Amino acid sequence: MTDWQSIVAAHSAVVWRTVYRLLGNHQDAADCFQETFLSALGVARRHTVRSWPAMLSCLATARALDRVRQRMRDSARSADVAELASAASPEPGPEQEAETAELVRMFRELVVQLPDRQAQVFCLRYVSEMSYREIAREIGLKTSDVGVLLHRTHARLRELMESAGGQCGLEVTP
Amino acid sequence: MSKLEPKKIRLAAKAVRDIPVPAGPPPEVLAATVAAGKAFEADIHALIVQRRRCLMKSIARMAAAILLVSGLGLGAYTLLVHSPTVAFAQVRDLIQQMQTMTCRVHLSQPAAEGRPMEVDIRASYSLPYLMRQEIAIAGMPGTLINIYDFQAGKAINLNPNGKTAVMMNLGQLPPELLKNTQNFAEVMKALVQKDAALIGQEVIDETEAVGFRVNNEGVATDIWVDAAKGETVLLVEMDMPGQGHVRITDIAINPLLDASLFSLAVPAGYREMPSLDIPLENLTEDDLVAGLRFLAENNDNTFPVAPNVTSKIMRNLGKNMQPAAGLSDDEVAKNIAAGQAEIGTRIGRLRVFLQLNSGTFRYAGDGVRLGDASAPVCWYKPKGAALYRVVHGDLSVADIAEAELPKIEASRPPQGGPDAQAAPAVSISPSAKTTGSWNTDNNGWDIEGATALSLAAMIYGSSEQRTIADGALPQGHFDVHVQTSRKKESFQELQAAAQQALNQQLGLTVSRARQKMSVYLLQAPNGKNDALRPTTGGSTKRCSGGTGGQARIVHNMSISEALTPCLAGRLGRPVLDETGIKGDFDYQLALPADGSFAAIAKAVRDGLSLELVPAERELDVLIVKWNGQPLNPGPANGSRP
Repeated sequence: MTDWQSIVAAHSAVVWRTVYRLLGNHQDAADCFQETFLSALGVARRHTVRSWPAMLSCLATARALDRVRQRMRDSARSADVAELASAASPEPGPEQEAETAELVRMFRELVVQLPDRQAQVFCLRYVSEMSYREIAREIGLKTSDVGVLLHRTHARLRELMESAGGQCGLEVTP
Repeated sequence: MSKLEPKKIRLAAKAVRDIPVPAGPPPEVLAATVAAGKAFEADIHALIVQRRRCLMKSIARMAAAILLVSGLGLGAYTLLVHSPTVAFAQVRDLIQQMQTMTCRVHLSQPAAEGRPMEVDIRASYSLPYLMRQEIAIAGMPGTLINIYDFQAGKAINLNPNGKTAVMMNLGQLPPELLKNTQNFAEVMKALVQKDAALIGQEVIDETEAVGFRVNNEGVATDIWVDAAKGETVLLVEMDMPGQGHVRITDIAINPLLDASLFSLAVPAGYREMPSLDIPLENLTEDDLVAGLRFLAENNDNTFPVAPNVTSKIMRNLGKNMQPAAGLSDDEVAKNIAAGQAEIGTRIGRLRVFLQLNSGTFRYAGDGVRLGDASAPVCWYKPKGAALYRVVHGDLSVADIAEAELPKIEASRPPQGGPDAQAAPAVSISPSAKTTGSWNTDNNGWDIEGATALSLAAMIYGSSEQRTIADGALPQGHFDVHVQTSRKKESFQELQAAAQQALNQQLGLTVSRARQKMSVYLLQAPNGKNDALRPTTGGSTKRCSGGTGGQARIVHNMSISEALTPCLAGRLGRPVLDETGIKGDFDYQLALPADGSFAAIAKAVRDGLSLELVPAERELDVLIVKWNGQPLNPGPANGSRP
């Protein structure tokens, strides 16, 4: 029997950090936190867990991205001013704060337009800073496939930025 | 990160990483999570029993599909043989000496059961006769192993999960086919002479790779080899119209392979089931006709996009082979075996017939109705014959001179393929989600959790604020998946298919009208505005934030481009620009979390010195009407009759 309480206690910090960074608000992060652990329990029933932190990071990222997608179109009602504050760096000036908030929003807007797998791998690599090997093991890919996937994700993001920049969106830095 | 990566993305990822994370989770969340986990564990045994029952049904249903997947694997093998996989001088020598090969084949079926069906095959070849496939289907337990010995005309199907083995008697393969397999390297050698277009360079497996695209019989194949020496084939990808995407990786040429991998002996501990006879010998034109009929009958009496098992056909076959209630396990197994044998025979004989006649065979059946005597489905020239044979939609066959082929060609309906008019498939289904999202990618649209009204607005390119329900609309939320096998389907094509599905599946009729309605007017009391700074640098338009209490940062955009749509979304009514202020501006606006008109109007007044005024105006709107029909879920093709 899995020592569930110990697992939650030992890994709550990594899950909380992952979901909060991607979601940026307390309520969504709390919901996602629970969903992640319950999903993990289901996974642990079917597979041997080699690394709880890595597996939980993967699940947390996937759940958080689902939630970001859900709220993206309804963001007018779900976000609040505190989100902007929480997204800012510790002691920013007004311009820096606005720029950071813009970057965070841009990241979320773009990442949720990616296919699920690409978005997940991209966040695991660049937000959770997992290695190719760790990602490959948890996602069930070869290490080389992770590299290919990330390369294509970069290309896709560039397309999205160019597309958004041409219509109403974002500046594309060559 | 890659040198090609936009700097902004790198900065954005860092900004997300640097978000200060408050202490958490709150104790009550932690406690609830622990409690929920314990409750879950307490129920797990009941769940396991229930799941086992479901899996047994799934395994029975999928048994037939697995054989078809095996057929697809064979199709992929055939494509590999017939595609100039190595249209590069650097790898030609390597291919000519090829005796063994291993690779991993990933099939992504776009529309099976309304969701992508992912199939992973680990394939090993020992030329000229032996092939082994280890097949895993996403969502299904375990793997299935098929081992073929084409010289012996036998194959074995192993199910490690159930520890069962089924022998398949293929008969003696036609001599021409055996000759091809014996001269596998020669076939490859001939094929590398075909033209391939350079498509660029990428980093694959941490190796600089150069890619080439080959269009061969409607299948676009991208082949990536190492750019330095061309000694390693790194990746092969194929877009097969109607059958999805094939991705071949982990390609090893001439690896050492243990002979036991290709053993047809029933492994110890396995139970041998009744064998299947799938004879692939003594092929005639009747096999072509019977195979085409089988495909059309299982494709809603229409010939499919390609003469093979498409995802739609696989879905239909799966439905037809579901075990009837009340049958014993033995009876179910017997029925499934009979179904497998029929499918395997029909499709297997058709595919081998096509392979034997691949030099002259042309398929033109995409979209032709079964029974249509006027439309050609395919034609080929039998070995040694003077005339071509043309099969029509009613499956009649006629002789035709080669000189007449252009007429036949001209009478073909628009065909599938990467650059042709393949209609997008659209499915509408009830959604468990209650907030809408709209994602787009190269494969189409995914709209989730949308109401009927918002669906109409999105699909008809309007806003919810300008969309009006004429009477009751279907309750609840819906998911809409618009899927295309083409990478560059135009927005208009996807939109047309979605609009048709909205009518056929959901019973919605959308019309345009002009109507008086409540709006807000955005006005500039003084006729000028200091908060809106004319853009000074750069021509790129940017806007971000502003829809959820965050600062809306706008660069180089007019009021109607950026501000009025944002305010309309917040206020739930159309907002019309009556400021009279022209030009593109830079500005920031902090919108309040409070979504009331008063709060938003104050923010606009304080931040931009503009006024929001309630009014009524006559506007172009969408009128949405429902005919009362229940949701008719499932895929629908957009434009093809």
